[in-house]
Amino acid sequence: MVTLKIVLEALQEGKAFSTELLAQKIGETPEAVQSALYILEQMGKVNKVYMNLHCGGDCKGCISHCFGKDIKAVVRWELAVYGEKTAKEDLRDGKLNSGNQSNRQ
Amino acid sequence: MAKDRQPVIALLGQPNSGKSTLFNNLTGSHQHVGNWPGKTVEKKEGEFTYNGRKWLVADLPGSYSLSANSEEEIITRDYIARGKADIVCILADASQLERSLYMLADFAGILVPAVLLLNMMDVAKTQGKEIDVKKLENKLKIPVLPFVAADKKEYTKLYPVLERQLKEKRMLDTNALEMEYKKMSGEDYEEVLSCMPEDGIEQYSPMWLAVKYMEEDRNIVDKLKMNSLKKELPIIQEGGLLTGESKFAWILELVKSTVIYKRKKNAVLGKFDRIATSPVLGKIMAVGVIFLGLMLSMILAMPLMLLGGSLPNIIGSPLAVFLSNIGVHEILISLVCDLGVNVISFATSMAGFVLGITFVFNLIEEIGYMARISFVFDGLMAKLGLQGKSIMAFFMGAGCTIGGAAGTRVIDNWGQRVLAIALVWAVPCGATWAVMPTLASMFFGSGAILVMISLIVFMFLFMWITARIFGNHLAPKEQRMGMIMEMPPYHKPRWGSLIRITLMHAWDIFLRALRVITIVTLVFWVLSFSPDGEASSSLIYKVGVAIEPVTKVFGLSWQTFIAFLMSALSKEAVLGVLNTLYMGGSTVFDATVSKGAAAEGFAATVTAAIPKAEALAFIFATTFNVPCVVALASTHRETHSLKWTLRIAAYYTVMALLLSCLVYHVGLFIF
Repeated sequence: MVTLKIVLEALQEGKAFSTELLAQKIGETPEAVQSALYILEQMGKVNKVYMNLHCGGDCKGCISHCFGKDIKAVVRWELAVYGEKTAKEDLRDGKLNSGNQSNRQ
Repeated sequence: MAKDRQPVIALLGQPNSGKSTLFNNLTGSHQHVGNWPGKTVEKKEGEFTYNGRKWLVADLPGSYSLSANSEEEIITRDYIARGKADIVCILADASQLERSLYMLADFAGILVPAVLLLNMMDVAKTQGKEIDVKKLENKLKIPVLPFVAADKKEYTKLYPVLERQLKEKRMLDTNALEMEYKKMSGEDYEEVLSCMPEDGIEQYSPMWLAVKYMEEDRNIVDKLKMNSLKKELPIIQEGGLLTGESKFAWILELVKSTVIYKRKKNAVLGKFDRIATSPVLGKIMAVGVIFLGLMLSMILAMPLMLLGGSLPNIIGSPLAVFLSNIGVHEILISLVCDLGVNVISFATSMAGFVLGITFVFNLIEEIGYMARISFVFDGLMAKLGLQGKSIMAFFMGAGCTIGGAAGTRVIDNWGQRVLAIALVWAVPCGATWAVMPTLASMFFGSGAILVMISLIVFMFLFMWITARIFGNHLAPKEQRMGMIMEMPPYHKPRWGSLIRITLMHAWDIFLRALRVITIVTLVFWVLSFSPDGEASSSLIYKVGVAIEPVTKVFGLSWQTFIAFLMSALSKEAVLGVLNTLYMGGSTVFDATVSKGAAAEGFAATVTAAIPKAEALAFIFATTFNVPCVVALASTHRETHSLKWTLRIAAYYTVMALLLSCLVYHVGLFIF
């Protein structure tokens, strides 16, 4: 069964996963992995980053500008970074509970 | 809780759960909007009447959980905990229950009667999800109602449920969740629970308080300190993660036992996707798709390229004859018919390439494959010292370096951002993609595709070298992190939107190229003009002859060297400079190239004047030169470092010249 810790450890490995591949690896559904990520986001452990392939957000005059296309953003999740420390370091130091409050202030 | 007063329903749900729709449809125009006392958060209340009874509805601020992370969350839970609501109506998005039940899990332990509304049931059905509502109700011991908040007809089902719950006051069963807390945290949870006040605080049960204490909820810790606890509270390590795990396990068990997935996933697409995202085959497939994409874009570019190439013959020659017949001065005829027509010809050819590239790469993105390409190259990004998300900046850089530099904003680490920008410079931008194939086709005919592939291969090598040079300083290994990506589903392209964007893009590049090439052409035409008709009198000739001993070291003549320098201003300028220096019909050209060649048109003239080895060196040097002056400014804006901006610019100029020298000497062996 997928646990939050498994998902955090997958991110800590430094590798790239898709929700489908990670779900396959741990014998779960992609929805369950997404849900774990979502809960970890609430806890301040991971960040959701929206990215698209067209526009850096400030591309006025850019040759590749999007002409108002409704841009489909790709969602990627990564360990939260707060200040100089990352959740990766917390995980390494065994201080996983410390992020819940202080990191979200 | 007052028994005889107007019953109060509090609406609780995460943002986008449909809470506002429910509130508006329940209360209609009977709403009052203000602020929560002493807060800036909006307070919305309203009324509705059912069976002669007036109900008050409080729309609590949208929040993701009931932790004290925000003002909204504190207001929400205080309102519920103080017993102001007779019923809490919890909204969950039925289309993504695994996520949206988190609010219910966080609510569990607050002793207020509740109703669970499974909103967006219509969406869940289209996803092939079927929810066993009875079973869910049995497990939770509170009313559960499948619902579509946007559909007013659904409300007739809701009123009786609320009325019945007002009488029955059923509370959410927390036994299964508490079992998870005990299972996950063992004695820690029991120990904390044993310290809690027996009757809880306000509507908070001892279980809820114990959980929030473990999560280090400062608000609750303060409340507990003000109460007489049975014994001193223990310090719990990893408490937040443990309670999170417990809530998650409870949610998953609920979903697994009550949700049936009826729609089977497409097996063929599933198999394709496994290959598309696999580490080795995925990369091979991605390279293959990019290669085929380039081929297809060349084919699509062909009609406009042919048109661009034949413009000098179609328009130039008849126009020259006409202008000559009406007595226009020879210099003016040369300016209009040689330079002017060539400018339109280049701009048309460039627009052709951009049209092809834009169509193909937008198509790849439209069908959902581009995200897979970015995913399989994530590991490669890590080898360059970057986070995987940097790949997006490179894709943007393939359109425009300015966009690529701005695209690095998704990278939170400054060093990695600077490194990513330094590498984005190596990615040929849209203008380069238009100019280089034009030049490559002129000099190497069908071999142009090999030149373009060599440029792409060298781009990776150049990026690797750049990463090795700057990487250790800007992005040490320990700062690199993993990622999990949500892949967009595969779908059919929206052809209308795709064609519209492709045409707009091609038109945009046409106008831009026309503007830049015209300006550069005119400036160089003026610089190469000599009033006495002597080549040696023109400014550009004097400068060119003076610097040629140096430019020869890099395999470039003074003309191509000046074009190389101008490419740092704008890649489109390259064609303008070559156009003037070789096609001006001016004394400079006459002095440097045989007169006979001029009559043959730009392509014939330039290919006759520039040896192939030099042309190849020039193409490589120009491609990997500073992208353009605006990209330079953009880099400074994004890095906030003049030192690093100049360092990167100097590095690219030096490397481009060294590369030119290397390619020239390799070229001498080949041609």
